[in-house]
Amino acid sequence: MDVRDEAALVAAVRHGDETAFARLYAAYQGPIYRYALHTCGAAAADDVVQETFLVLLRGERFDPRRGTLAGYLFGIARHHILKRISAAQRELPMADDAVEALAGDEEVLDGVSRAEAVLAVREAIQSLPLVYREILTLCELDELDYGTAAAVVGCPIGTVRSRLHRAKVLLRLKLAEVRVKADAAYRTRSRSA
Amino acid sequence: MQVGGAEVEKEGDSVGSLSEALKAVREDAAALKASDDVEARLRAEVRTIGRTRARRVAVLSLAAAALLGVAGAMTVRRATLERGDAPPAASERSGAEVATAFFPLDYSGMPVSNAQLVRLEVPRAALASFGLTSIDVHDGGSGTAGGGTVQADVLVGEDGVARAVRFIGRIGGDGHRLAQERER
Repeated sequence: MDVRDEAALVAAVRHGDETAFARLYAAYQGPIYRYALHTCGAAAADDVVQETFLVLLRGERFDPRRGTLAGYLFGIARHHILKRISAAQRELPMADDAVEALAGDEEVLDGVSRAEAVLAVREAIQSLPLVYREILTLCELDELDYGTAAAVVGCPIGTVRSRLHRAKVLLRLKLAEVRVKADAAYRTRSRSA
Repeated sequence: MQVGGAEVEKEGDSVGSLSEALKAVREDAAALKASDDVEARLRAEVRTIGRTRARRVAVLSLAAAALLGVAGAMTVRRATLERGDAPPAASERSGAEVATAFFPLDYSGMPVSNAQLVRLEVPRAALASFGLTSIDVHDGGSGTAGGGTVQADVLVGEDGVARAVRFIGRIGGDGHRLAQERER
């Protein structure tokens, strides 16, 4: 779907065309739901999707000259996500040197089954500071290009790249912690057995 | 294969690198979506927008037609007065007509003075937006009602704003059905 098609569909939706709505909803509700799910949790994800599409129907008009529809919708979703996240939860990003010091083993999940890895990575993503959690979700899980992600978050593309790099470093650290704890628990169980 | 020191049965491929793990999360989440209730609520909202818009278009069409009608009526009246002819009697013009009740329009709440009733033809689609069934217009041989139109009386204030509308049928044509609509 190119930008002009999307703009025409949005215009039709705002005139009450249910078929056009079905096309746009099918294309974007999943990615927006997953973005909300990974950044603010399952309880709020449905509400974020609904509020995002209500803005599309009745709110500020989408202007294709100002960016893609994906950027527009994710931007609205982000606004609603941030409203649900308290200031205390918006942890500050880490300093560059601290992050680089943590950079380590790429094979952090070596030998872990797929199901366990999925669970561990999801939990680790949830524990990341918001700035990293959202950029990781947008770029890695929803596969937005850096330009669109930058438009959604409202920062330069270079910042997206650096945040994504730091997010991955922190994610590896979190996963390593999980593994250390699991190993320790196993040793305790083995000794007592 | 060791995880947490335990031997783990393989559930599909293991994931070694972070990028593989992220890919696995991505694939695993691909089927996740908002609940069906959300879609149902949004679709209902879209339908409401569609109905509201259709009604607004019908009302605006009527208002525009009313303005044209007022202008036309004033021109005819002026010409009639200049010729010294008496205006035709209402009974001659209306014949065996049946009309619906008046339907208020958007500005029906505005005070009105020196209102005029303007007869005009409007698209048949306008009936639906007022909850009336589509009817076959029988023009009584006058040739005034086209196939896609129906006659309507629009109540217009001296400010030119339409306040209400009623639809006209004729006995033997749509008059009976319009009478039924009026009784409802």
